[in-house]
Amino acid sequence: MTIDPITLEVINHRLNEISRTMEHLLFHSGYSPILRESFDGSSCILDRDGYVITGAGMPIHLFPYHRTVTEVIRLHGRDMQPGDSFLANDPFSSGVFHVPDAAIITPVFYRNELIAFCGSIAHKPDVGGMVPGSSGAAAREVFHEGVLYPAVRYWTEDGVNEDIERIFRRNSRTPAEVVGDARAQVGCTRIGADKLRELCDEYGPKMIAHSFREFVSRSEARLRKQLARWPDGDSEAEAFTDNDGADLDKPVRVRVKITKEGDSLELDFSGSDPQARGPVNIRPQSVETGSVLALLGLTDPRIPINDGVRRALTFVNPEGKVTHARFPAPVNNYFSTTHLVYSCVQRALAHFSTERVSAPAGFGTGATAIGYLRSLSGKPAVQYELQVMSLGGTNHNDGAFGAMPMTHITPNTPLEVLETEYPVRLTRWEPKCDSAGAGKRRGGLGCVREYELLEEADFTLRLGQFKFGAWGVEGGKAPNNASCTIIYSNGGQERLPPLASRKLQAGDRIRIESAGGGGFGSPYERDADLVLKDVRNGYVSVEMARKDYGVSIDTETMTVLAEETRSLRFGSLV
Amino acid sequence: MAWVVGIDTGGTFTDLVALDRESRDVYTAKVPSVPSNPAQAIVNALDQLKRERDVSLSNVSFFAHGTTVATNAVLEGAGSKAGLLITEGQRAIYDMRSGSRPTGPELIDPFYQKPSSLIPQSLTYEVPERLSFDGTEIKPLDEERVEEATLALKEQGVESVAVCYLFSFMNSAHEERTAEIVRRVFPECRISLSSAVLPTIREYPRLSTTVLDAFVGPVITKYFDHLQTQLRKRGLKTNQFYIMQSNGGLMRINNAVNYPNETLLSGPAAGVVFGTYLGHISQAENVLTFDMGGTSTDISVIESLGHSETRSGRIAGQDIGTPMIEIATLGAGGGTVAHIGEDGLLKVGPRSAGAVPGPACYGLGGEEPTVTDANILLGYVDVESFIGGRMKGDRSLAEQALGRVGRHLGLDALQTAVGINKIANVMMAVGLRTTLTEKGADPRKFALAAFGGNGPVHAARLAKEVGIKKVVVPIYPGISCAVGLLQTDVKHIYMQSFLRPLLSASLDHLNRIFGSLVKQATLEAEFEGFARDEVALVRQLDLRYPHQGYELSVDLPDRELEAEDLRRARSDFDRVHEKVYGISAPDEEPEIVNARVLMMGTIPKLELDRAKESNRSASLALKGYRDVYFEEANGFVATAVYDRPLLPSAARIEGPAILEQLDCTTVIQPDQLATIDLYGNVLIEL
Repeated sequence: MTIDPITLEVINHRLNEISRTMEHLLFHSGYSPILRESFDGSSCILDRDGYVITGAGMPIHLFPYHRTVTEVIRLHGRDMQPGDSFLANDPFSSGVFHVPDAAIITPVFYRNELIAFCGSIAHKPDVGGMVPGSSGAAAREVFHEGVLYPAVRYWTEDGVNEDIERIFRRNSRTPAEVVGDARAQVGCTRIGADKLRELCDEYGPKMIAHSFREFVSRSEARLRKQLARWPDGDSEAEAFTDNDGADLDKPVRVRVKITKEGDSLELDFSGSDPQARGPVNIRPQSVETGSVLALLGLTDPRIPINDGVRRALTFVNPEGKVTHARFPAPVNNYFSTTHLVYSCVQRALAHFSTERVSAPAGFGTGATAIGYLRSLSGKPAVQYELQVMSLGGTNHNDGAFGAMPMTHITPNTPLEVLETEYPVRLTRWEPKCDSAGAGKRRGGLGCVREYELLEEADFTLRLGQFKFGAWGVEGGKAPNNASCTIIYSNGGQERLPPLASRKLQAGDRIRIESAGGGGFGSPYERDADLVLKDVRNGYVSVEMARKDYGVSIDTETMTVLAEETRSLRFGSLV
Repeated sequence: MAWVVGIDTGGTFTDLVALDRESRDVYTAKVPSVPSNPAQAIVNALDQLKRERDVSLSNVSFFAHGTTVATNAVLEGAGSKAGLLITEGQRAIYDMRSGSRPTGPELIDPFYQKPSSLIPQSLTYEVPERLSFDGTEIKPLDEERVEEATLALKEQGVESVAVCYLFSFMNSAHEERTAEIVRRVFPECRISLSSAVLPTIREYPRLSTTVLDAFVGPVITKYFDHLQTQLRKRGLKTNQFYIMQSNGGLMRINNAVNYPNETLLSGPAAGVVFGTYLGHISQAENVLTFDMGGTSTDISVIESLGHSETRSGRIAGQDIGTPMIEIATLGAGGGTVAHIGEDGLLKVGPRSAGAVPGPACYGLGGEEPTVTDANILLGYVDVESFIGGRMKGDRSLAEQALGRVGRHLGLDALQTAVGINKIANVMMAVGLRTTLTEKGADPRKFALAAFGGNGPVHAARLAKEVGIKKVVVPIYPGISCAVGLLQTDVKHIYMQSFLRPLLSASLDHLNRIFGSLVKQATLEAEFEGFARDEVALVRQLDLRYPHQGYELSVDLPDRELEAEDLRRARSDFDRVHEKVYGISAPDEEPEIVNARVLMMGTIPKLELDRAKESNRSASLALKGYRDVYFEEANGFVATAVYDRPLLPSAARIEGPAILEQLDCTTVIQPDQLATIDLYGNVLIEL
């Protein structure tokens, strides 16, 4: 069967419309604020064999849908019925990253024949486990991280499976939200299924199946075409987590060897450390998605993320490593390890890619929670915030200031809302001078954020890492590292490790310094006027302009001293 | 003679509509815009009016204008040099741009960049001062520092200063004192206070909006001064000289200098106003406006004759919190370029050939085929008819350009044209459906109001795809925004944030807030020249469920509030939330975010005349036949072409048919029936 290119492009728009409609319904009918505010959700369309075709929402979720649907097919392939929806949040049997990410998978039938799957993932506020939110540093087994639902039948033609929902509800500290979100997920995948059936009415199921294959192979071809332009060879990179999640002094290595041959890549993670005792472990789906996002970022981010991308790649990732945790290892702190994988792949790929090169974003993205006995409404409340770092410089531009790595969202927690709802004052929030990795294109700046508590509170810190920071590339410099300091009202100070909890009193201050992004290229090559501009903006000090950038500035007139700059940069011989 | 005149400045053309209130004579004109001096195009349009209708400016009793001067200043980064004063220690607020979420590939692109700041850190000064969340002073204003900073900014040659302190929406004393100091030491400086520009909670959008105000303020002031001088010199006498705002209302030009932000989306807002009017005269409660121009398409939802509002507007990446009409923009217009994408498929957009070189058929050097080139080959648009025949297209240039792109897919020029048309249509159909879905609206209850130079070419086909039952093409589709300028009231919105759980809010406090908002509104109404009885005030509360990041407005009675009013507001809110988002949480007590007062001052509006019912037939207007491509027919069909201005009212036209007029072509699909209503609108029923 053939399909003309015009019809294919029309179907392309229609499929994207369906996944975007599903995403919209998910975000607007879901209950929990965390879903709406952090955008931590997605929708996906897969073919009847469980291969990803297209999706919307958090791009980090998309690639691993394949694993989740494969498990649904394995367990239920023979007896799936129209109207069924399955619930899966087990990172070991399905493709989710950690237990709070619950996936709903709905098989799509057209005239009783399976034609596709619609999926949705939404981060749940709590699915049980040791601590509120389910993700605790003390977890030593996945059982500590919430209740696992291994692709169970949550919905049928007759409606909800009340037994499952009762267990789901009973095992959450936020029963209304988890059930509300899960039902919104079912709703959006069913709307997606209806719309796919309408598409089949218009074009016939064969044409739709054929177009699925076309989109997959076109993504594959686009990626292969990019890879073919690179030289063959191999390249390695490694990075360390500060700790293994249990032992705070034990770093864990993530290592990748990338071999490029023709138009394919092999990514080998065998050199990574054995799996850890604490929750820094990750599952292969996290490795795959981190690698794919890094790869597309340096080739062409417009290539649609679907299973065609997988065909150009081979992953070597033996079980028992931190990058492939064996059941029942804890995995809740997947984000920072996945970001390390992403950064290592980016670093190793710099060997091949010369057109698009990026220094890494600052390490340490994570979250803080301040629990108050009474908020300003009089009730106990938790002030939960994502803390983000900045992006690295690239061969085109300075790194963006303040964004999530991998998926560049900037969280929205207005300080006026925080101070109105919680007994806290945000006394300082500013870019930190000299925190960016210097370079021809510098990283985004790190930031200082300081809270003063007005009441006693429980403070929980869960940041990625403080000790091992990001690096510069092609002569660019490393940025500062992230840190957290408690300034006690009695005058004492304490620097916290990245995973910590403290009981704090009114008057105590929490000071978080986020990491800047790495620098790209030699700082000596940065246009002296840009350095001057950075100095005038307070991003770079006069001293570091001289030391890092070789730019001498007259502080009286705030102008570049050209002669001296030349001699600093090229030596006095010139 | 008493003429009313509306002039809308667009990127390519400046449109004029004029109506003589006595003779009911209507005159329309389209002249090329002059981006370097927009007032010149206005003068040219008025000269044309004078030449062709002998109307001098002294005969104009009402003048309304939609402008892109502020918009262009932001798009081109050509605003004025401005300084910023902020609360000490808070330099990250602006650079961080909290809540930004890039779309499409940017979300995963390591090369992603945030929009650049309109005021750099080097022109930003920290001032020691601090208020608590309830507006009480924690740290007094350091007046000396304000003075030093102002002098430093003066030294650096700024023209305006933005001031945005934390919690100034609860207590504006520090900002106001700052303004006094700035005025004293730097009297020629324009001042934008966040507590005046947008006194609402959430520091980043308030700051960004205040910065925009400072950035475009001096530019807008100069432009309005220049325009007034030019028009007064030419004899314009009337005080009824208005500027269109992004909120769909007008304001007096001498007041407009106080609200430069309000003019950022002035033109498209007028289009939506016109869509509402169109719904009104064609008995359609719910209207989807579809304004397809040369480079983009604007879509807006009007339900029960009310437009939708947004408080998270954006222009060139800059966030604006000022309430404005919600308009979705798609990157598909007549000049949108088709090309082969990286995936080997035919793509339409997002690039546009603009006005220069424009579509290949213009013969101005455009090599790439556009949506318009495809429409020419398919017979929808006649090459003779561009801008009423003032410009002629070249069909063979269109054909060559289409062939060049199609070759890569093994398609000839015609097949490529069919493809471009199909893909452009699916993109717009997706845009229309998505916009409706996001409002929880059912397409079957909507009429599609098609205008802009290209809207009526595509509308009938799109309605079919989207499931809309009725299309309305107005009498002057190419100048709808100019007409919309003459069909609205003066409107201002006053807001004050007040974050409290709804039911436990103090009635006294709320009534005090409303009292002060009403006072502001009343004073401004006087300034705009209204008598008491010409002004309507609407009190509203913006509510949300706890921790939500967005709020919805509910109306309150226009009097002192009582406890019962808050309870009613709660159930109204649950209902509105259910309607918009499909769910509600009646167990959760909503929170007040803002108190709002809408002031509307009634001004005379342009009413189009109804024609007499006629029983003449459409055949009078038949120009001839030409071959036109229709998908249903899978090929060309000999199609009747009518001269639209000659079509009598109540005429019935069976599709397929083409209706041609000065600046626009309407395509009626096979099996569709169109009628001309008493206002000269084309109604297509599906």
